[in-house]
Amino acid sequence: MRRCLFVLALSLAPVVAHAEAQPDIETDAPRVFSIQPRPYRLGHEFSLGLGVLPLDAFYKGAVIGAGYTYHFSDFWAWEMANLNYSLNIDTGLEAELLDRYGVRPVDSAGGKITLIGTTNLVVKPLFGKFSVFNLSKVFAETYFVAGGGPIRLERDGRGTFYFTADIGVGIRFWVVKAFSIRFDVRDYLIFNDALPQNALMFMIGASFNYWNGDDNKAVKSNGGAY
Amino acid sequence: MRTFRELGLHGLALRFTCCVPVVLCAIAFTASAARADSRTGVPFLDELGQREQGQLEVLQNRKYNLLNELIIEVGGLPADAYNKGLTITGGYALHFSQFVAWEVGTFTYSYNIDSGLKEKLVRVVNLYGLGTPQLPEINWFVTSNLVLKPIYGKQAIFNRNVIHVEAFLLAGPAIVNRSTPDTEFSIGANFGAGLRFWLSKHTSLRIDIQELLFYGSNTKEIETALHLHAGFGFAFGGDE
Amino acid sequence: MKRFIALAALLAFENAAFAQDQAPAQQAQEQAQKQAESTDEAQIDEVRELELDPAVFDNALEDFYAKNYADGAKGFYAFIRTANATDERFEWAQFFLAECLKGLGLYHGAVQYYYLVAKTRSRPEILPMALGRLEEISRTRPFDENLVFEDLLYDSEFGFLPENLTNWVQYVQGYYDYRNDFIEWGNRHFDQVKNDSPYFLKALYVKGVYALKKRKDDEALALFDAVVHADVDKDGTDLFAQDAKNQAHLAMARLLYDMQEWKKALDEYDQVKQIDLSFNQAQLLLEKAWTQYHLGEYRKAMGLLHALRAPSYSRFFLPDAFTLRGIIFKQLCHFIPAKRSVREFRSTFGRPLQDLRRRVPLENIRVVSRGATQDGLIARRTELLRSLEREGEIIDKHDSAWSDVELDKHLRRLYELELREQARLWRIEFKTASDNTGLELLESEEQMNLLDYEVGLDIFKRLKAEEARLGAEKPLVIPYDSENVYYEFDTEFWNDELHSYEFFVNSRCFEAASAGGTAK
Repeated sequence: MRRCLFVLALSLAPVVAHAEAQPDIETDAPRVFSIQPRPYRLGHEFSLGLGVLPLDAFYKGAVIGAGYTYHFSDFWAWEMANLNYSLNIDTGLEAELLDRYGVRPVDSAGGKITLIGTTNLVVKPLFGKFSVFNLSKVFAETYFVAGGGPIRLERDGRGTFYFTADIGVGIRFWVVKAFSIRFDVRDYLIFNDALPQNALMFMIGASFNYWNGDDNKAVKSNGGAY
Repeated sequence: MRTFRELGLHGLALRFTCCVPVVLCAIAFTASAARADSRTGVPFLDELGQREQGQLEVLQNRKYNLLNELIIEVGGLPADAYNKGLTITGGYALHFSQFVAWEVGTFTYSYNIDSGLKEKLVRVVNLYGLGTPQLPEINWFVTSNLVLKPIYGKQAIFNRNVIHVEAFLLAGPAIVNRSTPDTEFSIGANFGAGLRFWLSKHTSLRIDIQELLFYGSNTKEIETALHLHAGFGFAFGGDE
Repeated sequence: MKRFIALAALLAFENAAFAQDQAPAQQAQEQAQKQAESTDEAQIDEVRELELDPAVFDNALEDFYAKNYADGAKGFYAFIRTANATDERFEWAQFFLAECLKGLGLYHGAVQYYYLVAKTRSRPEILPMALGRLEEISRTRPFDENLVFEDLLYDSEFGFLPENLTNWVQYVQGYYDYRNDFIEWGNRHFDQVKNDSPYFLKALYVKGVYALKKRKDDEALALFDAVVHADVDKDGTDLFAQDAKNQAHLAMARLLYDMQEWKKALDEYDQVKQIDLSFNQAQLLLEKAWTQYHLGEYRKAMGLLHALRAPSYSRFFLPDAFTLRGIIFKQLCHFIPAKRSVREFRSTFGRPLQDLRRRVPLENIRVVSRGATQDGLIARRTELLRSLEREGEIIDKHDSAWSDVELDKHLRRLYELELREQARLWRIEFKTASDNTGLELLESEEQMNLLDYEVGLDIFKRLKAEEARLGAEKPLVIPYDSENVYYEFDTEFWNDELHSYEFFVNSRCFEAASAGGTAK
């Protein structure tokens, strides 16, 4: 038995060596791409949105926003101005604390957010499409924003401007060339007198786009240097 | 001594030869059944001709089709003023089709951390001898959800890679266990939406935003809790 | 020796099993063939006499408007069986019976009764409605073309009809005139088709095809060009008009391909809109692939061939796809993939080729049957046969409800007759189509054997070491910021991408230093 195994091992050795010596054909294995012109291009974008600031325990902000973004290319854009006004709705927690426990909270956070104005760099690395019940198709783009600007906090009827930095992520679904719907999530880091305060905003918006570029340019150019 | 070339191979061939007629009979029978007449006498009629014109589908040969899914997620209950819950969720989902699934059951345990507001409140209340405030906190909850998955697609990342994404909606009943401070079981509903990003055939990253809505049996009020969580779904038993 | 005997026994058994397997299928086919070729009249069953109930028509009409088509059909048929043909409601009963049958999905039965109403024409007010239904069915469903086009429309005068029906009737009459080489008469009919109708496009197309037949290529090109630029359905919502334009684009592209004007042919191919996933679309992909190959665009050609692997197209008979794939791999000196193409061809078509050599009846070879029935008149007739079978099952569902008036028996007889006739015609057409498919398969096998041989030669082609160098290939660079989106293929076929795949593969060919240039 041992002799058989030894003979078997010897007989296989050249096979193994030969297998290792074969050229690796996977290194330039063919790759298949579908190369399609972008069906939707952005140029000058005007957006309107409705959002919510849900995290604060004492109030919830119902936000109305508007913005203008200039798209340099299909990858880079500059949200030149994004203005949001928060209509603050009292949650009743302050009254509850007073009623139940006889305590009145002092707002150490600097106040309620009333106005946010930021300017942001926009990066759009993802573009794709979705099927809806495998019957229709919608194109979508995912983007990331980062920037900053002034934010107004109001306390006891007096508003003060501070600086805020924000980062966020959003996804846009195109309806037609000139109109898309966007969902944004942004986190604001507010540098006020106290410790930096965090605020999270969810927003749904309508976006109106004007682009006067050449739609056929993408079709003619094949993209890629090859 | 038996050699490899003698009885072993011969025995194998004999056994094989005996099996082959059986196999061939089966093949012949099924083949003749497949070729058997329709009323027209045209063989394979169901397979012939052009594809029927109809709704043009969007995609064929979908890459990811789920059947059984184990869910493990971590997240939080961030909206409560007094208690911020760190949650861990485990569950199982059964996917009936590309569009409909049933999250058979998910169990979420919440590790509650007092919020700054609660700490201050307790301190102040104790300072003035007003007693300890009774602030309810969620211990765990169980949900079972119907899942609708109408959206499936892909996105090119930097034009180099492709990531597959699915969006879903879910809703279903929930049972919530809270300490108020007495333990109470509340019945309610859970609804929300989520996104799934496939990392591989068997693993996907899930992000869920859900809202619990329940009637506090001790507090006698309708309560809500926003649940944000993310984690992994492990699929098995689907298309391999 | 023992092994040989076992093998021989195996082969003998396989042949016996095959012959045995043939026997019941053959018997059934022979029976069906006899039935199809039989000219014996079907036995007339004993007809039960029914009395005319005055209210039966009104009740049936109520059922029809309540969308209770099964009861409505029963009532109208009972009326037809019992009423006098001179009754003023007789043709209405026939028309509404057709409507009920159409509502139930029994389109052939409906066509029969619309045909009767249109043929007798004793009620001029019903004629446009009946013709209108037939026109709609002719665009959307398989139907008996001989009955409607030849028996009813061709050589008939219908008097005044609404414009859309006039267009249809004139088109059909002109088409059949062209088929019978009555060109002047055909043109007279086509001149009456309004130029905003999809039938205008079809008429132009017929003229173009005729010009092609007479080898007047320039005239044909001009006519096809007129089809695609016609002011009909500019927004592309009418599938019927789009189909006509697609056909014209295809015809132009093929003509330009024959003239070896590859670029222009490709431009025309690109104009064909994808409205379904039919054989025509698969054929389009293959033709585009050949055109790209002639233009030297191998990666685009391979991309188009890749789209043919989509599930919707994989069932179609396109042996040329294997040949072209192998040729391109050979051109790029990817010899293992080229050999793989040959192996793939043999594994796909090996068994059918064996069957061909064994003289198995062609209709019993699945691949040949599929290939022969995927295009042309026989494809439409196959669809009709399938449709008749399915509609027969619908009759079975209602037979208990209809048995007292024997509507089920009547419909079964109708369908039986139609099935026999269509099967008879199918067999005649199939003989030619299957012969051509079989020949095509054998030719493709020859091509693949030749390719296999040439690949073998190329692998061992001698080249002097000092003269050989690899072509300078640029690496694949995909821009992250581009007007184009790049989706790397990962087993999913998105239908809007089927024409946009590109296959990135480097050439492995050695170039002789004196020749210069880079490999494609």
